[in-house]
Amino acid sequence: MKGREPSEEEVVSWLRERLGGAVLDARVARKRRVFVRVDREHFKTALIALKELGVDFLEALTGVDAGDSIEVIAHVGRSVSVAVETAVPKGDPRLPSLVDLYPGAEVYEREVWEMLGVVFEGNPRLARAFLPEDWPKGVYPLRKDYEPKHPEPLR
Amino acid sequence: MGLYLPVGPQHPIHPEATLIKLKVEGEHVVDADIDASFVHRGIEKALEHKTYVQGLFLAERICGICNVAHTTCYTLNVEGLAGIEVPQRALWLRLIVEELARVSSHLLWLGLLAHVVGFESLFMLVFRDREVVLDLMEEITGGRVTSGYNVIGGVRRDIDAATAYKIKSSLAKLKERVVKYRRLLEEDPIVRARTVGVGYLSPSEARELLAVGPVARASGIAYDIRVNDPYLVHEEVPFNPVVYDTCDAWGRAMVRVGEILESIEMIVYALDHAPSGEIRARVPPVFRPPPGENVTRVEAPRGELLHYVRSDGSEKPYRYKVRTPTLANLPAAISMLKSRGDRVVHIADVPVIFGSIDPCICCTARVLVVNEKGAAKEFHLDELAAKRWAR
Amino acid sequence: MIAEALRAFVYPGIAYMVALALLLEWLDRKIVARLQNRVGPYYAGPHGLLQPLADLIKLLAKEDVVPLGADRILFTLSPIAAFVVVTVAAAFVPLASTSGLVSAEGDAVAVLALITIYLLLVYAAGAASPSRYSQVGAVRAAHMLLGFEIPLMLSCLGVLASAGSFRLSELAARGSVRVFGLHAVGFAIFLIAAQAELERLPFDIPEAEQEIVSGWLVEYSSWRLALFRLARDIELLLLSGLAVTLFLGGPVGPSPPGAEPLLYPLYFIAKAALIVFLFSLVRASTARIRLDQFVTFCWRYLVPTSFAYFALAVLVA
Repeated sequence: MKGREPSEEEVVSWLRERLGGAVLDARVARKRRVFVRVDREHFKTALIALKELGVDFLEALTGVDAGDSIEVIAHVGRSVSVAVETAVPKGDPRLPSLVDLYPGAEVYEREVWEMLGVVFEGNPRLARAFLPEDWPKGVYPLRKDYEPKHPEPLR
Repeated sequence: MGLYLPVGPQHPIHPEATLIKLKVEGEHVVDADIDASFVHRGIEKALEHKTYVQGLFLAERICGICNVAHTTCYTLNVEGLAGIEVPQRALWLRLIVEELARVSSHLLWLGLLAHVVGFESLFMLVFRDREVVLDLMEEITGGRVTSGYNVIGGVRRDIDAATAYKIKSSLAKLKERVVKYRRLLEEDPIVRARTVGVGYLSPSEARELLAVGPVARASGIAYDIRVNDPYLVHEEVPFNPVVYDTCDAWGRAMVRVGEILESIEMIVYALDHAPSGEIRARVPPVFRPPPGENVTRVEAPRGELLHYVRSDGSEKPYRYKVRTPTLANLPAAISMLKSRGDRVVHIADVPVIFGSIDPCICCTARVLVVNEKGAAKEFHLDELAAKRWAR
Repeated sequence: MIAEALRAFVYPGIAYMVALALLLEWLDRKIVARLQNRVGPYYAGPHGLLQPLADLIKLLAKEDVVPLGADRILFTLSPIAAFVVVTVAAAFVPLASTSGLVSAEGDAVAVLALITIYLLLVYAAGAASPSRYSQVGAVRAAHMLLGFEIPLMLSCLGVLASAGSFRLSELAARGSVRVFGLHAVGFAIFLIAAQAELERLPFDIPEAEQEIVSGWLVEYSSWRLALFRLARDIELLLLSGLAVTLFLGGPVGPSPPGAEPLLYPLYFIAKAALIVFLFSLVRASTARIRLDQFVTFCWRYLVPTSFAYFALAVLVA
């Protein structure tokens, strides 16, 4: 591991310093857990800033259907886990892709796109990865308006 | 002129249904992609419809062999979210069972590696030795593989002195065998010929492609959640993460075998030092954690496992996300499968490479199958296959 | 007439060869199993002796599937031809007496030629199937031929040259054991090349189950597969028999006069069992090497050594 990883407080102060008002909320939940909320335009900038600080490992991308918007959370960090959260409106669910920052993010973005419909612009292969071949287009299973029906007995 | 060679979805090397699409020229692999959609079961969605206690049973069945890692992560996640205090002894017992499951998983993997390189005898012998571990699991938890041990609030059963003694003596014998296997990996010329230099993943690639677990640790990256983000009582149990820098399948094998030995040490230490006391805090079957979110990370046998939960104050989670280590290692696997320059990948290397990331596709792919009309239907694998190739 | 037919078809003819081949298969499976801490064949017959036969019968009861796109003629002929070729070759090998079922001048060379033809049939069998796995397996088999063919031939020819005869029955009659000194080299080369020819671990590359799902054999079922498996067992008998005749002195041993027809077959079985034991030992303790590694190994070590052995054997003779 190169360099020393920053402490939780250092992460928060760094982000506030670099992004200023774009940081809508930032809190240290407990040891090694930081939750930060940024606005959509600064989502990628926040991750770039964190990478400069030494938080340079993307663990996962979570998508959450929050009613009118879809929240995308990037979990970064090896020791300290920083959850960088942003919201995109359901009518325009676009975010810049993170693959130039983290090439391995390609498969995470595919999953969030498939399940929730968030389009990551710049992802070279935003294609089906987990749903079957004949899955209907435009149906995003993890959205709250999608309800699976129970299998009917055949006879 | 390339030949498209599908390895899967049903193939002797796959313990689960996966499709590895290979583009081959002669014996060399020039391109690869992985389709992990065959075992998708809809677990994340299902977890939103279950109470937290019901969800535990679902989380346990995300994967058969990693079930202890998933329940450890799930219970810690929910307990952190709801502010449930777990007794100290329970944490120590959880660690013992988690490390025992790690030994079981790594031994399974070693047997599979032997099978993949055609070393049937080693496969047979490793599985025979693994029986020792499975018997111990059954003694402690009641189940050989799916343990049903972790519950929200603690663990279900205690380990008494007699069981502890049995564990220690069985593990002592197992340790001797594993030391022999390590020597075999270091010295057997054919096993070395099939794994040294195969599936190369440079440290920079491992970093960029976000590899986790033994895959990263075999490329020199010392990343182990038990060190970086200790959970349970890992801060009190001494251990050394096993790191190699050979960046190949052999390195990954050595990392895993080394981890078996480390885990055995940890179990013995924990058995000697676990405090006495309660093993379970009683939790009502339906409870409503305050609105909030939590992230928990656990070092599963395959790498870093991450669970994220968000509560809206009701008795069911608003969102539950599981990011498994095999998903994190998929980009690295695809990169390792491609021939590049003078680093040639043969068809014969494909099972070795794919196996060296210790794939657990059950963990990775989770969805329900629905047809156009919106009616849910249970699909069997052969039906799916028939549909697919009929086009 | 009847006696000839009985000789040809029963003893020491086809029936006896098949029985012996199945016995050697049983021996192989049992030894490997015990070395792997398993039991091996157990239920069919005493100690599982009838298991190979039971497997063949089971195969005959299966459905015969000819894949769409297979070359029907080749798909049907190759298992039959494979069985015929190895059986004819085995007919020359002294199994039950100092002479094979048939004996002719130069029959050792004929046997070697038939072995090569069998390998070409393997390639044809794989090519006849439309499956990609079969094609990869067939190509691998042909590729392997490049590696072990020359050492196999040269190790045999070295012995024949030093014995001064190309007739297997003459070698068997003389009964000289050739495993020491110079011939130890020839013996070792023959054993290695034979295992490659038989596609046994560590050389079972064309049939690598874990990579290409049985390779060239994958599309064959029912009686075709049964014939191929039987051909494989007879091949094992053939090569062990060759080893016994060339290196272990043939089915010959001390015997009270008149008891030869009884004891010679037993000596053969004992010596062939020794060879099979060596093969099984290797199979139970190795992993599979890769095709390119195999070819490199052959050309770097096996071929030059076999040339040296042959040259020295000719000179010394």
